[in-house]
Amino acid sequence: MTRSLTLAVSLLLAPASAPSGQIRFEDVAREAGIDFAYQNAPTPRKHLIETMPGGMAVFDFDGDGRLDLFFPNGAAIPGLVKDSPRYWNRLFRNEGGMRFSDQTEAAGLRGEGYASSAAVADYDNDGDADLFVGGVHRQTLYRNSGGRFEDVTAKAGLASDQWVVGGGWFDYDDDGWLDLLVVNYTVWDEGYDRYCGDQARGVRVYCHPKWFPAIPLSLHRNRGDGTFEDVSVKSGVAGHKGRGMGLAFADYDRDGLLDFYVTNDKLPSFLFRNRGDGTFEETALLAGVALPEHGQDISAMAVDFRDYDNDGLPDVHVTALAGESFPLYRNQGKGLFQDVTYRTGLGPVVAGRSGWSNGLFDFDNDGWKDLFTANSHVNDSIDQFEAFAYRLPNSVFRNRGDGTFADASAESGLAAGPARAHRGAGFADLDEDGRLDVVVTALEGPTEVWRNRSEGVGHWLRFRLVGTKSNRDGIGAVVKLAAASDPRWREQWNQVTTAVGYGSSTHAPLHFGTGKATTIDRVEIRWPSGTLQVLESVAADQTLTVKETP
Amino acid sequence: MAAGRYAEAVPVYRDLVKAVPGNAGPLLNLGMALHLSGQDGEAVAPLEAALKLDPDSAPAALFLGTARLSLGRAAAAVAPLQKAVRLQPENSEARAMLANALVALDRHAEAEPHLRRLSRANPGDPAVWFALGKTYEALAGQAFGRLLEREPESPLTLALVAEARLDQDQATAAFQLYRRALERAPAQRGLHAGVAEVYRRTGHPDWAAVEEEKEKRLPKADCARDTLECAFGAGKHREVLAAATKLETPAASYWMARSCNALAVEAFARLTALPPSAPSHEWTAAMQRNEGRYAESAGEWRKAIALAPGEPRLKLELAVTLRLNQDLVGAQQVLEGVRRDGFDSPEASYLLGDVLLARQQPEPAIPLLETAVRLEPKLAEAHGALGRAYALVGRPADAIPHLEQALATDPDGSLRYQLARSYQATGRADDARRALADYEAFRKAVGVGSEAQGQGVEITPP
Repeated sequence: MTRSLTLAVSLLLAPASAPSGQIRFEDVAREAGIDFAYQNAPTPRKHLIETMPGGMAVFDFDGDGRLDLFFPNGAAIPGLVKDSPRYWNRLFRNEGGMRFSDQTEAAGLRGEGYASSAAVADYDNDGDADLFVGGVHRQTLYRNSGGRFEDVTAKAGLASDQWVVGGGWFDYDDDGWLDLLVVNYTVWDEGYDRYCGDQARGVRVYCHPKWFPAIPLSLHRNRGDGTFEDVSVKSGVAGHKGRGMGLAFADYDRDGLLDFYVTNDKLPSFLFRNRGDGTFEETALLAGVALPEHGQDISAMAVDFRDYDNDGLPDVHVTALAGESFPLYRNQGKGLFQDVTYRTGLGPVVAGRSGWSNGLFDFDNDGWKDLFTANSHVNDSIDQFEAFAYRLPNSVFRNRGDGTFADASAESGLAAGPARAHRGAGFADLDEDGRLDVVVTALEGPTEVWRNRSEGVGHWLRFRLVGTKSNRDGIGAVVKLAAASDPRWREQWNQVTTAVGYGSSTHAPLHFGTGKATTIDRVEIRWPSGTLQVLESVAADQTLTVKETP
Repeated sequence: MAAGRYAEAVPVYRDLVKAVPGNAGPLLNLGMALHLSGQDGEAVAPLEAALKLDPDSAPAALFLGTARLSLGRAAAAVAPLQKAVRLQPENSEARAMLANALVALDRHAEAEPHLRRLSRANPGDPAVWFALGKTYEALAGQAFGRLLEREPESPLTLALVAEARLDQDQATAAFQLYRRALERAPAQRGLHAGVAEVYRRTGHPDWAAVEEEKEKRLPKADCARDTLECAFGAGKHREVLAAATKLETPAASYWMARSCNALAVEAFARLTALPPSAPSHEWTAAMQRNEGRYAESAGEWRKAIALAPGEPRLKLELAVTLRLNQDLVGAQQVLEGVRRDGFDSPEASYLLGDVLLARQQPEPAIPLLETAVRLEPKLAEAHGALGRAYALVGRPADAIPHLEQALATDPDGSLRYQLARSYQATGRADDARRALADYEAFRKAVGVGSEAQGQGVEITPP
């Protein structure tokens, strides 16, 4: 067993009081200088692409230790061309003190085409976070060289004309190089002109997904030389067709191999189990995570794949539309999940909400991951057909630590927040105060920066992992904390991933709330390489940089 | 009785019956008093006795039939009502009761002449036009059902389905069906016209013109042989109905379905031409609901209820519409009101339980759904909802028999999936695997989740 070598990069002021406070958020986007609104270029023809975009990314693009924000943006319809600065993608540099400045042009990220999603990771292991941007009939890989981005899509062999709604990085073959999973939604072109809605009333709506064919995902293996090999067929991934939306990675069966979950729109979702031989087995139905307990297809949107109940097994949370619920599947072990939406108390409170991005994060640092959902319906005329609203405020649900959640949207300030067409989200401590903030995008509406103002929250501990044998980002590493000083929790788990939120990505240190515990008795880091690294008596309220032992 | 104090009249007539046994008059009056005071169960025996003593008593026959109908015994109501109509052919009330009984028994062909005669006698009665229109719709459905059963792939069947698809704004599906029909019967009249309509609706007037030209070039119907088609073309829909009823051929079913649809349209047109009434609002509400305009439909149901507040059926329809509109709170309020008013049918219990389940409140839903299946064990939807509710609260063993009973109504495989999960939760791994395989096969068979296959087959030029 090895011990950690590199410790304590930053030691920040810790909250003095015990965790007992409410979760509170305040939208500070305007003061922060974030003036981005996603331009989806809506048309009377109601092209489906108009309602589907809006992801974003949180990452430190210039390596200054502060987390910056990136927003892919739409384009003119028809043409799908960024023919005006209003369609540029935008990059905001974190200047500290919750102030941001626009660095789009300097960084070379204006972009092209109708972009909608982002996925961040250091795919070339050079220490800079690189950026994958998905969009309609285009995907772009930007290589980061000291804060300046170069489009290396063609060079990398990643050119595609698919409609990409999301991407995610993981090292499925554990060779130390991050591979790229791309979520393709369906086949669409500008000539598609099916009229959906009520012609008699002249109410045209976005067509139901059933009218669009299901297509496979794409998996690209990183050769380690800057190029990728399309292994979609070889890996078995292409053998399954869906209308992919969200994706998340976790080793759900704890066999040391990273698996992934992909939500499908109005089709059963996928759980791909990594066989460890370069192939995957789709096992969602057998595992009980393809559909909610009621067995009906849902408009599954985003997914987060984390352990909400601190039992060491990653669980699955999915957002969907009003009337469908937001299913939460508890990992029971042995490869089986159970829909616990009702049992956790989430059922009745989410039954009438529509959600896109979601994230299981500990916002009050009490040692239990809470749930945030960025809300909106998909149909901007839904109120003319059903008793639902299109624009909605966001929600947060506090994890009570007893297997149930409480709707904390009102007390947090989110319920009174603006009702908008929310889509993407990022989760990170932007102001470095130990509390996780949330950034939420909206179609044609201002991006919201929800600064975490929760008082009386607990202590915290973060890990910035640096892989050596494993990929440099440590993506796929599982971190376990054990402490005896807080009776509310004994052990916690989380894993390093940048895939969180719909079409979104957060590349930030791995966060744990530690409640009353100011010292963590034992930290175990299981790297993708298989290395187990153990730290003991680790002080809370700091961000540790941990380098994988060779 | 003359003062409308029927309940008070009951003991008086009971005494009279005792005093004058074997006399039809007091028995009839007792039966009438019991029926009019809402005691139909007790009314039947004296009315049966009165009719036995006086077989030509039209009132006894009418009240006996009405009492049996009120008790839900439509089959037993038909004979006395037929007698009442025979004895008093001009008695509209008796004829309307007979028509109601026949409709309740799905004997629409027998109901139709009575309703037609009522519509002539009372052209200003919206209820008659409504009932007549619904009867023609039912007859059209029965004719189509016969055609589909006997010749599911015949060009006539395909043409009818195509027409329905086009009405539902499913142009691609309609196009495919017309094309399949044309492959089988290139000379069948109406198919090219149907394709032309598809082209027009999808923005191809030039292609439509080509198809119309093809339609014109087809040989005209030989009216000596194609009598039904010619009669239909001449707008003689009732003649088609009368003639087709006697025939067993696919063509007869086809022309009967089309004629009945046309007659239903005529009846509903008469209904909507009258001043607003509960039936006219009901008809509009049903139309709007079929078109997915739930909020407007709910408004129409409310108008119908305002004009006929004593009809719980309308309130149930309102609740169904609100449920479809996802106004679950509104639906719950309506259903709770219906039950408070003392109308506690299995359907009302099921609907309320289903709404609570949709609101993720399985615990209060369970007793309602249990009541529904106890009162009406054949209500498969209620079994499905109860199974789901049990599963939600962690009672998979209780869920299984109800889910199994509901499988015949599984629209999308969801019941099969829930059944598989319940088997799994109770340790019946083999059954779970079988049910999951069944789920996948079922979805594949019915094409759940995708209409895109139809979309993939594009609407191509002539």
